[in-house]
Amino acid sequence: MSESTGQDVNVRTTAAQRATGTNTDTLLQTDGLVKQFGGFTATDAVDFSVEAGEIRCLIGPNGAGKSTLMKLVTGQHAATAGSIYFNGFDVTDDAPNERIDRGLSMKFQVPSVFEDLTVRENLRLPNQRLADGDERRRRVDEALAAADLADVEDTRAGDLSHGRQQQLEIGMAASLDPDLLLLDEPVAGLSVDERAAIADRIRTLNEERDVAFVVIEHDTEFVAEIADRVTVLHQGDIFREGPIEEIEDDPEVQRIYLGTDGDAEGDAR
Amino acid sequence: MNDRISRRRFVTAGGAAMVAGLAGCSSDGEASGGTSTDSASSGGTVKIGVLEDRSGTFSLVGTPKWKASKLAIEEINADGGIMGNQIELFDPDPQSDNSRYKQLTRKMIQQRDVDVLWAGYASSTREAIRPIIDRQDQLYFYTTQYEGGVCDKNVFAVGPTARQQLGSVLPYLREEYGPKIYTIAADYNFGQLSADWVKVLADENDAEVVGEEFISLDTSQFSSTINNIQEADPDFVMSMLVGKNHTAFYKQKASAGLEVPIGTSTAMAQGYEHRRLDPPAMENIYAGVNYMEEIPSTANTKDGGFVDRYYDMYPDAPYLNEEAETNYFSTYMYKKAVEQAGTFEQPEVREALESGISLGPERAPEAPEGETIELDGATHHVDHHMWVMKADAEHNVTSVADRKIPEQFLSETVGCDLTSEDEETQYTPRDYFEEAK
Amino acid sequence: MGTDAFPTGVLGRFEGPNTVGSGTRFWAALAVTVVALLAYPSVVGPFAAGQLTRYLVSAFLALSLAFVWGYAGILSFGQNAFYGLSGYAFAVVVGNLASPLGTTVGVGVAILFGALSALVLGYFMFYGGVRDVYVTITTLVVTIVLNTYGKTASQVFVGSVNLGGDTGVGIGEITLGAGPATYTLVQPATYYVIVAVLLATYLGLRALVNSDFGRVMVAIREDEDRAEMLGYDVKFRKLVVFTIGGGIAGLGGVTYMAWGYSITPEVVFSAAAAAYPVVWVSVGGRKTLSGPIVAAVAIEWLRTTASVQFPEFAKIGVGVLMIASILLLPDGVVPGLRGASRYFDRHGLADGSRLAIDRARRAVGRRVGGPIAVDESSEVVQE
Repeated sequence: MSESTGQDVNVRTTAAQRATGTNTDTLLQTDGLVKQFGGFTATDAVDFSVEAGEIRCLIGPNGAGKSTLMKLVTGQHAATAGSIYFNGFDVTDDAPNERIDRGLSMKFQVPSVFEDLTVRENLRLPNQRLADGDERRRRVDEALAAADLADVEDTRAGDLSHGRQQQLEIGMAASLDPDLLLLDEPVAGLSVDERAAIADRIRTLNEERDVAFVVIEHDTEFVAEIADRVTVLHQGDIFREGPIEEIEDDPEVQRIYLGTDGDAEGDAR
Repeated sequence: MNDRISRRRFVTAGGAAMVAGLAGCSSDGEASGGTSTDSASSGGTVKIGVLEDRSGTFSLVGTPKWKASKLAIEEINADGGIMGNQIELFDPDPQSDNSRYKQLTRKMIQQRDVDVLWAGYASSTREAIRPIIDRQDQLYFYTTQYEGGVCDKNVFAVGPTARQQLGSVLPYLREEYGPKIYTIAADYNFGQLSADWVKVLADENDAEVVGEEFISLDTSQFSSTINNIQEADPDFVMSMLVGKNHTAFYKQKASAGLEVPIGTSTAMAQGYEHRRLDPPAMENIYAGVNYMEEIPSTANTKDGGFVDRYYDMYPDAPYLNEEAETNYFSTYMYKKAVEQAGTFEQPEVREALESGISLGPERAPEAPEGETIELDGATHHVDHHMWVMKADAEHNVTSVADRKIPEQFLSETVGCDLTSEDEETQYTPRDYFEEAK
Repeated sequence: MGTDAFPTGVLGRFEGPNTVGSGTRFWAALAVTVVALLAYPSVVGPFAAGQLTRYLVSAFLALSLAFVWGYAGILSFGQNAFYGLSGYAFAVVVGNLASPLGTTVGVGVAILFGALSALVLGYFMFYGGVRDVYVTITTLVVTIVLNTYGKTASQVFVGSVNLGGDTGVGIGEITLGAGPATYTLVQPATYYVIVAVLLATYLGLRALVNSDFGRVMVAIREDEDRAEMLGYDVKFRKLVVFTIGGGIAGLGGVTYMAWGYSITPEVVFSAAAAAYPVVWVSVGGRKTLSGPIVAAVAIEWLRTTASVQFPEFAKIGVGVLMIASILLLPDGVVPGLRGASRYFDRHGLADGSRLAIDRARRAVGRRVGGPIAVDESSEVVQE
């Protein structure tokens, strides 16, 4: 088995082969994580943890710091203070691509597929890191089927409908065989059917490939459908955490949503 | 697939077009056709190439060079040509662009098969084409005043060197005004080497360089320089400023009331600042030159003399500058060498030049009555008659001193002797003089 | 099966979605072009062959920029810096070692110097977080600074070789080899060597950009952040790409010295010189390799020819060409021609022309206003 170096390697280890540190049940752990932008504290000493195989939803009013927290986990933001542990390793100082080698993957809030490339070429990019030749072709075919995109494999990705682009992006993220997949608002702007398809996808990945999820979402029904546990963020810190039923009925949570922080149905941040 | 077929078709068509285009290409729009069928001159014409800048950065100083070459060529042709052969002139404009110089030099040699070539104002031009000249063994005259030191079997650098020019004016100013010198020079090759020569000459003339300033060619603001000069309080200034931007120095120094005398090798004679700027900008400027329009030699100023003949041919010309005379006399030197050799073949003509050619005032108007200038065969340089020309408050230019100054650096210090040993080198004063460093 | 199904075998390596042209017809056309190039000197003589040699040297510079810009999205005005530094390095090594072995070593040293300069500059830019337009500015500044320094470095010696300031450095002969086995490179052999090296470089780059590495380059060009979130070390890859680009520019510098035997700062490091590769690559088609080569040769040939009759307009003409190409053919001439070719393939020459004229008429009519007689039977054309 190979350990990830500073540069990405061409044929990566699969999830099964990846080394893990101690305490393999806790997949992701942040420890007093702080992020400040100038004088503004977006993330306020957060201790956030996710178990292996869990589907966690991250909710909260606008400006609560959900996306910031996610970007701290991926490494797109550098933490002002605190640490992040993933699969037992301290990844606080790791670059994003190094964290991905450890088993992390994400889908951006704004759909970002490679618009000028075909669907197939989009899916080829993550898969070419893990396999060659026939094996690679097989993986891409599987990914196409799983995302229900086989019929448009030669279409330019920018020409797909919004919902199919989301599926494509999840497919790309999933192709890396991650242990943890971060999704930032995967169903924003989608129809009821499309939402159902995404929920299905998440559940399938979770059950069949043991992928844990952290999903930022505002749609309470969607959250209810997929979440094992829910974390509520408010003003940069964890306000409540627990199973969806508890959170739904919690009056404090409802208050912070309906309070001065803004709309419960949430616009894209 | 549709895509692949059309791509193939396109590339096939494109490839064919490219082949057709390349096959038909003739680079300069002249129908010169394939291989050069022109042979070296035999009974009929002699081919001369003159590449001088008539546009671009050096058009002001390059145009008179071209005109003077044409004047000499017309005179010679009117007089029966060289050994009965009329001169055919090829003179495309290199546009002050060294890439173009390279291209045109090769064209002159490979397509036109010229018997002799004049080319270039700037030293960078000379150096850009020198490898081509050397590889093709082309006889080449370089006529601009320059830093000196080129010992090259194919190059006849017949303009005055920095040592000759500065060596005419510096001793004079030292005698007149005193030993303390402040140098200002353009910050590039020519300026830096000239400044080295100032140090060497100062040492030879019991003078001292108390300050040295190098000014970027882009600068046109001289207030701090003028301040520095005033603080250093020299007896005189040596100025090797070059180019459009540096002209501003003379205006600014006049406004600042800086009256210290200034010796120069570059100002007035080439760019006629004394005509272009309002008086008294050039007051107390002393130019050390082999030629400028105002030199009082008889051959220059008499009726029908050099100045008259030039303006007869070019009535609208603004000035007859230093290098023009060099282009003019070197054309006659070539003629004389051909006559001496009895052939146009370049190796023989080179040998004839190396035996030493001397010209009197009629063909080299820088020489006063009864004197001559000589091409020194061993170094391929010219022993010039140098003049110290002074501008007064009204910009009248008069001669205050003159004498013949032979080429010294290559002949005496370096020991360059192209009659016995072929070379292709440029020497600098720092290699030989401690004081230059 | 889709786009993965390119022909395997030897030629398959050189074909792919990232280059224009594939299949037997393309390779045949390329072979014909190469043969024509090799025959050229015999047909036109030494002077014209020498001219074309100069333009082919520009093609290396164009390829170097196409590689880093067209394929990885790094718009660099610094390719001239590596090109010029390599030329100087060659002159310095040749001047100091003054032997056939020295000259041979000099070729390698010069190319490596070009690559190394790119590596150093790239490291400071990409690992220092310089991105997008600031990369462009930084590379332009570096080139201009080299010009300024170069022009004043008139008594600066590297070993026994004077950098020469504005007059630059020259070299004598180019004699390669070692011991008794030496070879002096002169025209037209120089021309043939440069054609061969250009062809090899073109094919090598073709294979590279169509490989996995090339696909990731394209992903980085399209969306750096996305590529990074797929696990690719974007900084490192950009550094590798930039270094290779510097090496190609360095190869150009060596071929420049083989053509001209001398180098000055103004010719390689001036802002104008640094801008030309951008024009060549834009006009030729920056997401292709053949486009920039063709455009570099064509534009330089046109510019040189035009500047005889119309010196000022030649330079303006290049600028106008650049603007026109951006407005009318933003992907460049080569892809534009391909698009036109596809259009006529689909509709046929006669029908295609008729349709195009129809659409143009309708478009004009709409602008002029009022009811127009629309031909009900004309097709709705889809692009």
